[in-house]
Amino acid sequence: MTENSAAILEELRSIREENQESFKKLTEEMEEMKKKQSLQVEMMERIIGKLEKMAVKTESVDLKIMEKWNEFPPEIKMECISRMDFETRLNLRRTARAERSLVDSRLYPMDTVNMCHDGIEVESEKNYFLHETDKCAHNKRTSSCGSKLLSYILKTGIIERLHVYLPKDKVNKWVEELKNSQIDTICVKRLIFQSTSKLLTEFFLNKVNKETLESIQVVCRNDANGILETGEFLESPTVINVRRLLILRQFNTVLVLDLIKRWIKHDVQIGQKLFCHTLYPTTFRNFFTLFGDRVVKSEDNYIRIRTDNESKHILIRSLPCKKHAQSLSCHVIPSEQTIIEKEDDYYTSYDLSHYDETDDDYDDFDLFDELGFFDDDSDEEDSDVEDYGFNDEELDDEEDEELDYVQ
Amino acid sequence: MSCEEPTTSPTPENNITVVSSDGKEFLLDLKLTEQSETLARLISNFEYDRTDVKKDPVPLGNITSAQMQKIIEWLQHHRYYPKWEQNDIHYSTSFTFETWVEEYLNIPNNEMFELLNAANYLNIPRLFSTICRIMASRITGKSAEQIRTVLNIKTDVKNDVYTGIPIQEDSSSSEDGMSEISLSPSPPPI
Repeated sequence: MTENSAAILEELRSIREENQESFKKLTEEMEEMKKKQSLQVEMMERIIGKLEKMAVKTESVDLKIMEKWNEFPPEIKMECISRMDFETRLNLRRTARAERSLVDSRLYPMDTVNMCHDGIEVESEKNYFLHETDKCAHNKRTSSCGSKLLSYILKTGIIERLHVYLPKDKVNKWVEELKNSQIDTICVKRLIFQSTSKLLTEFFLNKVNKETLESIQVVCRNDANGILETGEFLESPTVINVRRLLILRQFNTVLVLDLIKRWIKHDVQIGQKLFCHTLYPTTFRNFFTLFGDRVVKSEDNYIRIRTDNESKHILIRSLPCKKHAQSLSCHVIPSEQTIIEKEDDYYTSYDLSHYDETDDDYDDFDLFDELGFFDDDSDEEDSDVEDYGFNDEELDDEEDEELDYVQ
Repeated sequence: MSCEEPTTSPTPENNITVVSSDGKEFLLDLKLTEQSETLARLISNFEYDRTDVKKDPVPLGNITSAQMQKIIEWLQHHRYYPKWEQNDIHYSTSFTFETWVEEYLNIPNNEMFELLNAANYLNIPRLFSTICRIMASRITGKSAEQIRTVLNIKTDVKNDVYTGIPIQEDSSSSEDGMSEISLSPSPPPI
């Protein structure tokens, strides 16, 4: 009897354990679903936001005449113009040459300029503008208006975020037209490459205003013939000197080592940072080979090297990354700095799994397609760079753990 | 609160008198004049903030009594507002206004243009900026052709592909090709 009871008890226990396990599994699945759902909701909200911004512009048309406009001195007109949204300014400059030269006489802040597959988006907190390039591409007279608009934006914008992308079939023509449009410099703070075709990348790296540029991000996955494969990207003076460089793609460690050598050679400023994924995870073996005589200190997850400038060190860290290959961060720090605080949120807050190439289900999900907002007639080969969901706001802070290094 | 009445009463020490272009006198509290950079500079230069200095009436030849009345109303309403910061001037494309401002500026367009001139002359940045935003808001969302109509602009730019409306041609127009750009979404019809 006791044996039976014990057996029954044992069985019950194992059933309970099984249940617990399946419950745990279910909970995890639920969590995963919740995450996906919240991502969908977020994307929906973003779409609704854009539609609302568009709707505001198309409300009622009040044609009360403001004929005294013509009597205003240019400086007062300019004050009014500087408070207009992008589309209104664009329309105003089409009314007469005098208005055009007024509108064009000043640079305008733009939050986000997004070169996307369907066209060019200019977005700010309150306004949204979309120029659908394909709509006028078939018309001989207007076929080049997309590149013209882009060059206009690049000439007159003080851009906070510029997402660079062009479908492969447009690159040559557009870059040629951009080169011919006499753009002096492009004022942009955060240059974000959604695709890295050689011509396009070169153009932007050459034209970008080094004074205003704060960061370069490469967020596309490996695209054939991309400039990154050649290493030319890291040889560009713009890239060497940019304050923050973030590359969300698997990167050959040799190229990273090469960049650090260039940092040392060019004596780049304190605070300069690089974040990237490496093709070959694990140790700092390569770094030791190359920088052995420079190593100040090393541990499992970081190495600190001296530069030719006594006041500067470079800290190279391997970062925890949820699903992805090893990630590296390199940071130029003052040599007297003993305590290195936690990794900058700028890098760690990125949800790197979003760019995990092995996670196909996740990456291939496109709500725009799901909802039929855009007719996707793109080539399959282009589809892997159409991730417009890249946005700081949607990033989570899971990796935001405290990393203190005491030297 | 002070002023607003064209006054014949004795001038208190903390007031100055301004005279509009049509000869009407307004007694202005010195506190209110702080919002006008022109008046504030004038008061500082002539040391009108000192009690022992005789304050002559200040002629404002560019501003009518009606405009002055309107401006004093603005100054009084914003008497206790924090000092105007010029920061982020280019970002102020928000077209949301407080109810009082909407009512205050619910005036004919021409009056508003005159008020803008007056605000510019007296250098009252908060009022100037608000009117600029109101004016910008009134043409926001309009097509090029609608803007031409609203602002009474005589065009010298041809080929409006967007609206399809024939426009008087000019040989030197459209030099940058930007006039041909078609926008999305489509504007409402005129």
